[in-house]
Amino acid sequence: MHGQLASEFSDAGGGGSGEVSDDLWVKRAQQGDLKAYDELVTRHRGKVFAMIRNMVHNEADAWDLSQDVFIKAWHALGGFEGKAKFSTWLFRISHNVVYDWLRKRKIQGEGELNDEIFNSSRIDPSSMTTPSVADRPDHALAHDELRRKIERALAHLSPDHREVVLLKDVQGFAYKEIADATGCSLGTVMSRLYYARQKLQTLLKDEYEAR
Amino acid sequence: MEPVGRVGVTLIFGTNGDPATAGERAKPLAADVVARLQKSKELNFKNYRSLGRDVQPALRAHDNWALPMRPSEEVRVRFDVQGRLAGGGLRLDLELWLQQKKVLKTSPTLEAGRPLYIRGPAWRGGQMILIIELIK
Amino acid sequence: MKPGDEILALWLEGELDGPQQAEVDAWAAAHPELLAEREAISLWKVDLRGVIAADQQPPFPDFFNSRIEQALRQPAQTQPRQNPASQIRSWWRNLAVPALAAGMALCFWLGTEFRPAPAAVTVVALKEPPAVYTPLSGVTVEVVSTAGNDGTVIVLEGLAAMPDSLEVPETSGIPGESSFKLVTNPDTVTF
Repeated sequence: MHGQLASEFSDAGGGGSGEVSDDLWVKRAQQGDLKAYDELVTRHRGKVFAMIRNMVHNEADAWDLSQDVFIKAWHALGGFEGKAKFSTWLFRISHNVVYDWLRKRKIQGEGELNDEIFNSSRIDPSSMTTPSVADRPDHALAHDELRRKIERALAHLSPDHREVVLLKDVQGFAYKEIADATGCSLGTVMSRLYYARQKLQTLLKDEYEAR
Repeated sequence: MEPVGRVGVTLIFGTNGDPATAGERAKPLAADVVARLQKSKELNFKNYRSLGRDVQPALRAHDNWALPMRPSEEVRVRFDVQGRLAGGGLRLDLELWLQQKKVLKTSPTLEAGRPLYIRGPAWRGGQMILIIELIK
Repeated sequence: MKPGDEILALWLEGELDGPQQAEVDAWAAAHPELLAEREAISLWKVDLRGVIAADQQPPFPDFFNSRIEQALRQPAQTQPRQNPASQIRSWWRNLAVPALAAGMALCFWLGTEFRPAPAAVTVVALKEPPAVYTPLSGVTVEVVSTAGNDGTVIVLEGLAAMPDSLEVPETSGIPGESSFKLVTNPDTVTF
């Protein structure tokens, strides 16, 4: 599976000084340079850990799983051709590691949508799907309370929907990058994001009205 | 699968009060063990009792679990073997679980005669102490 | 002309290139609800990123890295998948030799013996305290050496007490041989 990763990334990685530096470390790591790889781990561990922690809701497991990601990435480095960003490639591995873990634990999201019954032709991007916390009359909601509300709402999403919201709205991935990282089509990603945001809108509104 | 050693996990109760609070099934410790514990400021108590012990083979590439209060799972130690030392010791990846929660991760090196002590939670007015040792 | 759904979705997220962006901007000028939606998406992301971390250092980051390094220095327990590009195997060969050489050099410096085991990597007996980590907030971990250096003590502070209702089970405490001196008195447990 990991040997196939590189061929699935058809876009060139983005520019910028960060990407140029990653290229140098990646090349050295591909030659077996553990110090170079250690540098890559240091650069990317924060994002990988945050993403996995937000997916599995458990810091201890996220810590273990994040290490699994980097161990697997090392063994798959030979297949990384640099056509996509190294970080996107890492997130693809993270996706696999998290889903393997979820399968083992048979965690089911609540009320997840069956994506197969929706296709991209049903997306109406012009409909208001964005959850809003600005509607709350009390603009002085404590930061912690807001975080808890949002975390609870995210926890109600299925892993597929939670992942796409985290990648898009938290990590700032482009649609194409999310498609690469999750192994889905662009249409599926758009569909999932649409419904995830719609569900979050409902959940956040309901939570608020319950106060 | 051949084990590369055996690991003993003993659960001790240390207290400066009445050791009878540990209950009838808790056993006294031998004087030499008491002496060893009392050498350490962190493990020094007036009285001790043994609450339980489990010895498990250390299997490579395997999650090994020791339950010193078997069949209770309230106190568990998970370990896997990371490597062997030239002198026969073991480098472990070890976790302490209390009440179904992971509370500690560590990578100790165990050599015969040099155990790992973990001063754990309070219980019944005293302290739980774990002794993790390599058994030949 | 109304853009396709996919183009519109990309536009809402600001992912279109210059000319295409300008084209949709022009069309959207007549659709204030879309401009409002794009603005709402932007605000939502600001709110979300304010509370959900995109980047969070793992606890004990040095230990995190060293555990990965440790795992990479050991031979895989199962053979890695055969990759049509033979580069993976060649890196491992390149890696193993320097690691062994470094290990032997370190052993020489420490004065310990180093005999690579055929089926496993032998770890150098480094005289250093074990790395420790607790996932629990409010709990601290400290490593101390025992007096007389007969072991290592890890002290956990801040743990919740075990419930008083916890009883010693009848069957626990099976005595057995140990590296400590054993006294086979059924009324006492020794090591």
